[in-house]
Amino acid sequence: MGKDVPLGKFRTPQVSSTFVSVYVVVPAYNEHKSIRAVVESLMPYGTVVVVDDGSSDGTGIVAAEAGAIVPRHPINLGQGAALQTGMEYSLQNGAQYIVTFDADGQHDPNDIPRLLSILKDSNVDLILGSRFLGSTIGMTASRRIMLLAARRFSNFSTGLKLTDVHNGFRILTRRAAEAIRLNQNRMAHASEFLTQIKQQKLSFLEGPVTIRYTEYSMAKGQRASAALGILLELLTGKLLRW
Amino acid sequence: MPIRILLTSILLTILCIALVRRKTFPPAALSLAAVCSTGIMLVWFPEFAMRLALMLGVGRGTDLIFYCFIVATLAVSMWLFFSLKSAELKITVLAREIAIMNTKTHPIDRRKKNNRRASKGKSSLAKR
Repeated sequence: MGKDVPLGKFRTPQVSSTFVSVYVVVPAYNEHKSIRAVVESLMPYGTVVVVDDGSSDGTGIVAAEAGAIVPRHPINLGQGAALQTGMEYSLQNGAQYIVTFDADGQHDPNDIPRLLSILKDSNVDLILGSRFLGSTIGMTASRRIMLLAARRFSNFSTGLKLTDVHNGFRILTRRAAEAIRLNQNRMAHASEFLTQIKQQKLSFLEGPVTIRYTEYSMAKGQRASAALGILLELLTGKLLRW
Repeated sequence: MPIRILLTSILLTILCIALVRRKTFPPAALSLAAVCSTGIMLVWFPEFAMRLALMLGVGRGTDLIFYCFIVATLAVSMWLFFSLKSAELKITVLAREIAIMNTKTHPIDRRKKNNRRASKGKSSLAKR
């Protein structure tokens, strides 16, 4: 079920008092190339929980050596499932705020303190990152078109008015994390997340974040052809009343 | 005649299996038993399908059987699909429980535990 991480190679987390009750959940599948840098950059901002989604390249070991706590799925289930596992683990361990963060290095950890501050000041249940309110580096035109089309569809189907409907950067209060229950294991979880915000009547804001596209992250990202699969997953989810 | 005997044998076998397994999954077993019984009857009395088809406004008995087959296949496919989805959900819950249960305690907790053991005179490092 995965190798034991050897003792003595862990880093002591240097978490300031501002982020003591903050848990950063990073779902990861075969991200051994990027996960160490991601974990190290997140360590000052809270307890880092990397959910190893059945990786076969030692992602979990690398993440643990970098200082993360690593719950490991025995089989690959999908990003949605990994996110839910991370959230449940964080809640069980007393998290008051949960940050969801991608493992491919697209997100900027420096956005965490700013958005956390906005969240605390505004007293909403969660804050959603938006690249269109913030900035993007290296985004292609085709990716922009795909995201704008997804935004149009999502805003129509959920009734929410968002600028970025497919951003993995979010900060949830404990209340929001307890209210949301993701049942979509794979990429449809992003849409399900928004649907549940609406159903659970959670208050939210969008906050500006920076998304950096690299060759590595683009290769890992979604294809436009995946949109049909996501649509089918959402439809069956509705039929099953999940 | 040989085909009737062959079809009847196959349908009877399936019917017997369905009846033997009826306690394991009653709805599926009963449905299967009903389908097999109807099939055996139609094999030996094909004119019944024709009469029923005419009553329902279908041209031929074989057409009626074909339409019923399509509907039944779609229903079974949908049932199987949703059963698989339900099974996937259960597997996810199980895998999540395993992942959380097996998560190593925070490294800093283990280091503190090892330091406490060292101060009591025991070895502070696990074997590598």
